[in-house]
Amino acid sequence: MLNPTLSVIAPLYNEEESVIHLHKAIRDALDPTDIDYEILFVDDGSKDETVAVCRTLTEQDPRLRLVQFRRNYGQTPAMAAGIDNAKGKILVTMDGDLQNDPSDIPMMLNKLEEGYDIVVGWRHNRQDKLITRKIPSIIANRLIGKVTGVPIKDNGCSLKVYRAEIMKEMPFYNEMHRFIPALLSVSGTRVAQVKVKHHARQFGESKYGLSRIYKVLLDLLTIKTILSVTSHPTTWFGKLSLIPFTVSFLCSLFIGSQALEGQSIIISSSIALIFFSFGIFMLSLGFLCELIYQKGNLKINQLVSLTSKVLHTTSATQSNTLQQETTNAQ
Amino acid sequence: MHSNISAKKLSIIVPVCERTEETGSLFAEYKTYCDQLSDEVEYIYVVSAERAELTTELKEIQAQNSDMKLIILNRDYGEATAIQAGFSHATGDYILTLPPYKQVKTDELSKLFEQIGDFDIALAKRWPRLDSRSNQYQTRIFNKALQKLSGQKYDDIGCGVRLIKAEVLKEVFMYGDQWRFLPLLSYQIGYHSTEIELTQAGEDSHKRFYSPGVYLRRLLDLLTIIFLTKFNKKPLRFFGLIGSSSIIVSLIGLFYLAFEKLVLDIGMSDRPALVLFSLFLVLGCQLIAIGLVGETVIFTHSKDLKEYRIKKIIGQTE
Repeated sequence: MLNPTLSVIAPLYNEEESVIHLHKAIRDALDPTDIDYEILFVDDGSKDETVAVCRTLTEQDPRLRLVQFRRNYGQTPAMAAGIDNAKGKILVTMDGDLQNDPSDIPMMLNKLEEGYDIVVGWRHNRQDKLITRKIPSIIANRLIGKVTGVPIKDNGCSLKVYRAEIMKEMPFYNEMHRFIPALLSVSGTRVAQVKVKHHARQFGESKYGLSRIYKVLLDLLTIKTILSVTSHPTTWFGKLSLIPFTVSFLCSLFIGSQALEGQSIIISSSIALIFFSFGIFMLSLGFLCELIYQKGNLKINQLVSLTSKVLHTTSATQSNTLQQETTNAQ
Repeated sequence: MHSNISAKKLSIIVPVCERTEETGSLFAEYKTYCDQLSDEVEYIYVVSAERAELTTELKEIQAQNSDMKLIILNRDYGEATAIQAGFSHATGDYILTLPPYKQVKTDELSKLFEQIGDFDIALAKRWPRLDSRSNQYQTRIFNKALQKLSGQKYDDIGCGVRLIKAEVLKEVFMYGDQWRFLPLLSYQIGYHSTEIELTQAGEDSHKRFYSPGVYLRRLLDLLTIIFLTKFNKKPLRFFGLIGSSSIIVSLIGLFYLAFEKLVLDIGMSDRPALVLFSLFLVLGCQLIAIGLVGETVIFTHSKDLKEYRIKKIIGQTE
């Protein structure tokens, strides 16, 4: 079998009921098109019969493969495994619980053909509980958009279409799948957003809860730092260190006025010193990050060259060439 | 099950690190019982740090037994390193590690082979125990703490008698004193452990109290392991938790001082509490900043990181 053009990746965790429907839905969506595709299911250490069901499916469908984990690792590692093992030039990731609709895939592929590197789904008509799912998600997406500067309406949507050569170079760990558009934007990747269908869960329980917000907040801080560090290693910490330096400076002014009035200055001068040393600490962390980034094996610069190459091959029309120039200019 | 394993080669690794008084004399006893476990058995003794007398004794034994290898490390790097050094010379499909002193009844070792089943690691659990209450409490407290912190339950993680599939040791990365934490570290990469009850040896039952330094080191080990297994690849979750609690404490304190100043008109400028809460604030921010640096390290090395381990791929592979 030659390498397929398209790889559809879906992580599964205790989805024995959904998996047959999912497989059928993907086939129904892609068989009418003449795309050569493969399906990759990743079993994330399911405790039920998911693996057995998949095994029978693989016997019926040579285009289906199942990557089985040794234990439960989580959704992002499962997607990472799918991406690492996919053979297609274009990758599609989606949820394994039938909440995404594979019939959106051909439409997203067309969008990608317009010259984008990644097309993300937007569940504009989301079928989830309002308070526990939708509102936290809206807040999180606003925050992510504000902090990263990439206004994606629905970062949590798993249904995404990527070019494989870019995705395989991207770091993909922790719960970073949420931030893929933001991370890709560093390398000048062009991101498109399309509305996709969303269904309520048919089988099983939703596997994620409210505690995510705290994690998202921390991840956001991480992403902001990483994005800042990769572009200007020392300036980010330099900027941060301005805050303690200012506090320290204000305290010193206060010391002066206290001394003139003949009051004790021990307390205010210790505070000034604490914040001054904190400022120095933050500055040195900036240099440390520079060192780390230089010694690390991930070079955003290489990613930039990769994306511009991709754009070059796809840029048939005048407008695309223009866009390529602007991307390079960034 | 038993016959199945006996057809495979077994390597026995003994890390000679502490309590080495009876090591030499114990070899004969180990050999008597272990030779029955499999058709092909090799013995690997790893002596860490030069112990002149012991080394001479072991060399004599080695000269008489062709199935024994003796490895001498020039410094004491800890049990985990000793085991890894031994493993690099091992050829067996199964590795049985034994302490250089008697922990369990030797004639019960075959139970490990009979009961390992589909597990990758069989840990011996010293039970029934013959030693003093104080020893048992120490074991229980340590294991309870570990369970609370790691979420994994082991009753006797301090026991050095373990039967391990060779592939586990090939993959797991451990060093220093992390030997006891092998089950946690290997669960990380997807290997499962089981505990099997073996009667404790009478020789193991004397009262043990260590110096405070040993307990402190154990505690630090525990924290390191928690950090490595639970917050591995997410340093900010760890530092952020401590950092933000420090910041919350400081903010509560600062608000209280501000309240006193504004409502009760108690001056702020001569209160040491202000310095204390400022310190908490700065400490919290520093911890979070360190977490961020940690995240940068992870990010810049993320190409080497594989968070998952694949059992197998089913379906067309060509």
